[in-house]
Amino acid sequence: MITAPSPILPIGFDEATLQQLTAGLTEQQLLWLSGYLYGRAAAGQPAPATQPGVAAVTTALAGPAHLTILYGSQTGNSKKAANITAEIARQKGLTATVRDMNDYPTKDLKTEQQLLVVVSTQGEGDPPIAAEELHQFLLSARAPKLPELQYAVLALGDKSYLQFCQTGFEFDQRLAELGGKRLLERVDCDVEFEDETRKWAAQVLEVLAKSAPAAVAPVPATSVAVAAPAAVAAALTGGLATPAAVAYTSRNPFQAPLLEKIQLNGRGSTKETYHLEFSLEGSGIQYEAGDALMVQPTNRPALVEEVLQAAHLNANAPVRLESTELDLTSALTEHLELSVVTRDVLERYAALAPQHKRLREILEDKAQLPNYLYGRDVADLLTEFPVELSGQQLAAVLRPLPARAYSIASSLLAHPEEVHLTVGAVRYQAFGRDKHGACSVYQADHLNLGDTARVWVDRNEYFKLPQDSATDIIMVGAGTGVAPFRAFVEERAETGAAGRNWLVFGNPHFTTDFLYQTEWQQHLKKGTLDRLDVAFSRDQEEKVYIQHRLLEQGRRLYDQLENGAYFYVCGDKTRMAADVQRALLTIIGQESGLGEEYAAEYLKKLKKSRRFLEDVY
Amino acid sequence: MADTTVKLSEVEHVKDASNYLRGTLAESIVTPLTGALNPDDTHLIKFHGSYQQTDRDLDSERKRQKLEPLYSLMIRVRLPGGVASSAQWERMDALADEYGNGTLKLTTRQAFQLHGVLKRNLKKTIQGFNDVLLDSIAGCGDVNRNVMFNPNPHQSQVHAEVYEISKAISAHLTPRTSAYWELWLNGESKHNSLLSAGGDDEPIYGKTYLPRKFKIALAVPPHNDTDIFANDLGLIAIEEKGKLLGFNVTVGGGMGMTFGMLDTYPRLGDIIGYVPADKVVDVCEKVVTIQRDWGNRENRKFSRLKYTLDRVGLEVFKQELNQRLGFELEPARAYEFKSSGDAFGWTTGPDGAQHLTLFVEGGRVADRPGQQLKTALREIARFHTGDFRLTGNQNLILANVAPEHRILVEATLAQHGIQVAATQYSGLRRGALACVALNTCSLAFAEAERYIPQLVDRLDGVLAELGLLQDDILIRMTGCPNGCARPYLGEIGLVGRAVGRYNLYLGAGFNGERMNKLYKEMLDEDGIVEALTPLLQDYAQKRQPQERFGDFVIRQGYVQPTTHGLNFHA
Repeated sequence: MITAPSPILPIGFDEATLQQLTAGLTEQQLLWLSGYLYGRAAAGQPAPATQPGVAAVTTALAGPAHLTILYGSQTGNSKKAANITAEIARQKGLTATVRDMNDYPTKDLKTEQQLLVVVSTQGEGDPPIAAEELHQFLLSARAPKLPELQYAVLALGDKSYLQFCQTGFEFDQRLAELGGKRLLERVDCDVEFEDETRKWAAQVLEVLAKSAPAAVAPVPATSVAVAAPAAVAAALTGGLATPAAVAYTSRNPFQAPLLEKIQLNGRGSTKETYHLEFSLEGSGIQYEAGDALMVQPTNRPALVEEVLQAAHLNANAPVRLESTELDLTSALTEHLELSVVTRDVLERYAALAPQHKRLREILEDKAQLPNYLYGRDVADLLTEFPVELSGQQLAAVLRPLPARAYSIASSLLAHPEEVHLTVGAVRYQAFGRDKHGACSVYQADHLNLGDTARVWVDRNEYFKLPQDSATDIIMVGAGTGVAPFRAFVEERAETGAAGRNWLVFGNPHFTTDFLYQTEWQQHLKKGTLDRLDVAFSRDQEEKVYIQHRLLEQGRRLYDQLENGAYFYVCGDKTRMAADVQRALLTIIGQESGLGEEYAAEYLKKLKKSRRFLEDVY
Repeated sequence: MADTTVKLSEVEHVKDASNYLRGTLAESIVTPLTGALNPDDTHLIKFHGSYQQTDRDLDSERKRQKLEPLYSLMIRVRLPGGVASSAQWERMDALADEYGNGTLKLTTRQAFQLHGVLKRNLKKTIQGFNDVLLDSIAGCGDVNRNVMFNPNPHQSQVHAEVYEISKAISAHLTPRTSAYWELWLNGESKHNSLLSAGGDDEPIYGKTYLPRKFKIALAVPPHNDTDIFANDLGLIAIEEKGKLLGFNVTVGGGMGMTFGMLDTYPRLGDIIGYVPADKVVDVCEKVVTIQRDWGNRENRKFSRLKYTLDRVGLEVFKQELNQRLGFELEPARAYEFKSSGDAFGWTTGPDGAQHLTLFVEGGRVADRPGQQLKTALREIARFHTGDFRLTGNQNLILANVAPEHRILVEATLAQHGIQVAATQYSGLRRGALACVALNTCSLAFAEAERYIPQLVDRLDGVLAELGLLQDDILIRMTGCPNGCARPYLGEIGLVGRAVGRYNLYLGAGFNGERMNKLYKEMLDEDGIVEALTPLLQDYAQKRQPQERFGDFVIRQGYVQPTTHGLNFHA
């Protein structure tokens, strides 16, 4: 077989020749090459003759303009989008420099000629920490005029937030004010950003490719150029990724069999936390400690039934989603979000229901809108504001049923071909009905041993162990926030990392809620965990939380930070993470003896150098 | 007798290194990552009155949940003679709710037990005892335990005197170490009568204490309700015309044995003589010191006084005792025991005082549907001006009830579904004893307290058919062979071998003076009922007037009588 000429290859370009050409290449180099060739095919045109083979991805050619893709990322999604864009640029024969706002000198701005900005928005319209400095500079009076600049902005965000894509909006607006020439209207992406990114990149790069063919420029030595497909790049940087590792996405999830499901809370607990173990056998899926697993739920049959009744619709009514025909029940069960109502859904619904003036009022009162949405689901909306609508109209109003991301709780080294999650079942009562977290309760109630769940890995760019295994780590997590730290400690135990591992954990009760207690005890015994502080808030009259334990250990904490330790926080965003940050500021201020301002600056530096890392939700 | 070549048991080393029972307890009790104590401290905590236990019902479930066993502490409050004031009762009741599992256990040795106390609450619990002048020191451990005496107040003036003596013995043999106050009470105590001067000197025990637990009981005939002969040291009151003269002394009783080891056995005490009342504390001290010096410290299975005695011989022991006393015991005096159980209902003392003995099934003071015993007693404690007396049969006497309170006591009990005379229960149930066993005792092989009511239900059916329902037959059940509920003194003794399986022993004396004998092994519930039914039928038909079931089965030859611990297995 090997020597037989392939009918689709030109004469003289047979397998033997390929063997000869690729002799001596490593597996990783071969993988890269396959990506390279694939990229060329996808771009539909031959690469410039000057395109080198494996290593050099940027070439110094004379030319008037250079293209920079500048990203500001918190969770790594903007970085991902920037890399996708760079890859598409490369396919179009353009060379782009990908740069992180985190270490982008503001003075470089005025030298930019073609600038593609990818930036996300955090919380209530704030830029990511990595983008703070540039954002501030740009919006200030010191920002330079940019008459030569051509630019476009891709904004990432989450439509369920009021200030959706605010930072992207501000970048776009301000660059125009400074004289920049918009190459393309800004595109705002919701949580599922990858398809939008590809479309945007293809369009904007098409514009560039036409206006300045094959524009390439010298690349500053300090910048990082990324031109290979992400997975191939991972392979080159020493990961074990195989081509299959990238094959699983939201469009093509892996069907992972559930191997184990354990309720971690002892009897009498007010919490309901599950430890789930999925098999990845045969998938080739790779992940690193700190990554997340996306789990695609289906809606509860009872909720689907409630929605059908509230909408007075037939379960078998035909609907069309994208290009697929299916019945309404299937659409509601598998494809559309029912358990929460977001602003955009409410807006589309209001458009169908002009007779409900109250809906308009709710939408216009931006301050009260989150309160209205909180705890309401689609059945509540349909019941409160009845509208005659078809199944198709309902489907058009609703959002796609999103997958949920769970911080992975296992290390592949400790559990080959498995992935473990720590999932808190969300159940509550609101507006007279039992409410269930779509994905947590899907896993808690509906997923049985042997069933498969649709999953794929979502890489968390930054929430990673230190490169230097001798670096100390401080891990702070409450409740299910302990999940990634189980992965971290397992990973560092397996690799024999010399750095100290310190975990601070909190939950309501010692006897029932000490998640993974016996595992931590074993790690302590073996020395793979150096210190464990626990805060069980409800075990005594005065409530004791994680931040109190941190404050008790202020000296130790500060010493470790001074010694280069990484500080990780995982869990509840609104209260825990804020309290922990306040405690940290207090500790730094006190222990340094230099006060609040110094502490604020210190923490900012920790964040910028990515030694203060959050995985909060 | 000292043997310098002995290889001491592990516990001996722990005691020796403990600095008078401190060990690393101070650190153990505050470590937040486990509900358990450091392993060595689990031996030492016993001397402070507590056993570390786990909820065995949940052990495997929690292991799977990646949680450690649900550790908790059983804590035993010493109560010489079993007497508690209303204020003390109220406090124990409240502590059971606040830190325990919501129930109070009245033990077979007249102590209170709280179960399910979490480590972090142990100190607060002990401080709660101290507030009402109670303590748990020497509740367990290799020391003299709670001194038993049932001061049946209605019996005679002699009871009052014997009660005072039992308190004096208890106080004299209480460990002197200040570790207890240091660890639990921040070095302070309202309990001054027992607080040592601050030194740790243990003039009686020495720094390694006794080789094993030591038990003392006193009784005034004809009631042997403290089961004198089951104790290392027993004192039988001898009176003349209503005046206490002194005591017959018994030594070498003890119930424990180990399955499969025939050289371990339960044994009843031997009467070794008589001592006048004013010298009895001295006798107790000297018996304790002989056992301290001669007892086996190599193998804890042979450490009790009974094995020391059978090793050296009774005569050698008596000679040593006389020598240490500096006088000789007199020959034992005549006495007669008639029963070892409790009589329920109201009685009136010679002084006209009113007393009520209440049946407490399994010794468990709890609120159950239809029977809120715990609530009823709490309400009574609020007005009751007399005291509460725990009996050795796990029952309760409301003693010295003011005449004007009698109706109120009855009404309170009735309101909570508690019947005064316990006549709705069979004689079998009223006399039943059971240890705690599963789910908290780490030694248990089988159920006891939780299960015996169900077994008695079935046996009641048999008794009802035979017209034996109101006959008093002593049934005793333990979850292991160590004997906490004195099963070898049960006319029907059931000792757990495995979950749902028991050895059946028959033929003990009704008055606690003869042990039973193995009749059948490894019976399940059906097996027990099937084994007992023909015997009870036979008993109903062929018994002689007043003949007890334990005597009957021997006369009929179902079992041979056990005449000494050494022929228990024969």
